[in-house]
Amino acid sequence: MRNKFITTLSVFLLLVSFLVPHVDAATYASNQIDSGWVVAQISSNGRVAVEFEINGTGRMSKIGASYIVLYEKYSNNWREAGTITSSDRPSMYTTQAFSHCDTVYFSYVPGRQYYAVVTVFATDAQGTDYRTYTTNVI
Amino acid sequence: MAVDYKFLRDLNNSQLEELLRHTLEEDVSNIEYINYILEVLENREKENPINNLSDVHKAWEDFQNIYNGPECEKSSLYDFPVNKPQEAADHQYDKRGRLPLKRIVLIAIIVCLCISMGASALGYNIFQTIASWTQDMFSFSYTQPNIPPSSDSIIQDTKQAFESLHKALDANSITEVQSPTWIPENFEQIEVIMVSHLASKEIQAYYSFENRTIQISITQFNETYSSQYEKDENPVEEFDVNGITHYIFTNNERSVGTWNLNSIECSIRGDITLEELKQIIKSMY
Repeated sequence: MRNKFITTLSVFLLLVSFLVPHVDAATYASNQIDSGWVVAQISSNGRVAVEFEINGTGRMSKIGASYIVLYEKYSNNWREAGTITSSDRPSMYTTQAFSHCDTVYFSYVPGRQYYAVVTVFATDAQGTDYRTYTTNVI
Repeated sequence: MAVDYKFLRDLNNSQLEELLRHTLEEDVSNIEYINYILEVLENREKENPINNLSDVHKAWEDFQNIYNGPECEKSSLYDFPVNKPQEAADHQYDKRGRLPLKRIVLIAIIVCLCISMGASALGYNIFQTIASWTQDMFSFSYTQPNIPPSSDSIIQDTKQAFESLHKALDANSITEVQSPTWIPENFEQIEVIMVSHLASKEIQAYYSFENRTIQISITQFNETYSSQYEKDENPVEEFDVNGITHYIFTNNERSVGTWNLNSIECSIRGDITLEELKQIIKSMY
């Protein structure tokens, strides 16, 4: 009985954890990056919209996202459903700015689950720093 | 003529209880008969006190007071179907007399839903922001329940400049927080902009002095989101102003303060001291 309860509680907590977006824990104080956030949602025109923002520690020579990978759940497995790089979409980054925000769209199959991993960066005279943000599952 | 009820002594308890139930349904006037049954049961209880049968006289008194009032005339004590509740009761408990796991989980879910609905009705949203931090980062996770599809044809990637943070907040009817009335000496406003995207509307104010900067961000989210702030190994300080917890920490040489007002996330990040940061926060209420 006790074991069943613990198992049920563990499954419940695992499911709850999937509802909340998270960011990778293996990050460190940064000389270039102050903060950032990510959002994934289904837009009204039936696409997956991935929105991100990154804030630099000052005016950055280049700031934004270098690539975004969309994952979809297919046959109980997560697989890559699409990738967009800053080469494909130059509006994913900007120059001489304190921060940058952009929304990127992917095609969507109704009934499937999705999440995205966004790699952001900021560059100044001291160098470049990167972070990886993971969206919520939609 | 006196009736001999000695034959009742030959019946077992179940049979006696059934007879008692039947008599109470059909003819409650036969008090002598009912008393006899009850006495037999009571005597057996005294001889073998496994069954928890209460005092027969008290039971009869209770029956007369509670069940045999004038409003109960012509009514059966068992108007409801007898078998179905018993069947349901059999499923309610396991062999050890405890509620089964499925039922416990169901009850827990119902309780959680009731609490969440009650909290929403009172203006609280238990799905909202969770602040957490480690040695290396600070993050807010905000869960927005029941999200309708976003109309990306209406709100997308617009940028608007304002004369001041005060005017930007006014234009967006944001009253939960105000423009700071105090900024460290020599810092001057560079620009104030409002950026609207699909899931957010953000007001950003930038101040600078020489190569030092202060950035104030006030972001209104309409979606589930997660934000992350860089931090170093110094601890996070919880700084309460106006009943709101502000999280204060450092990112190398920079001071960072962030707090959440329902779906509005505010942050101040700058090349300033922690004391200066706190003073700015205090001046925003």
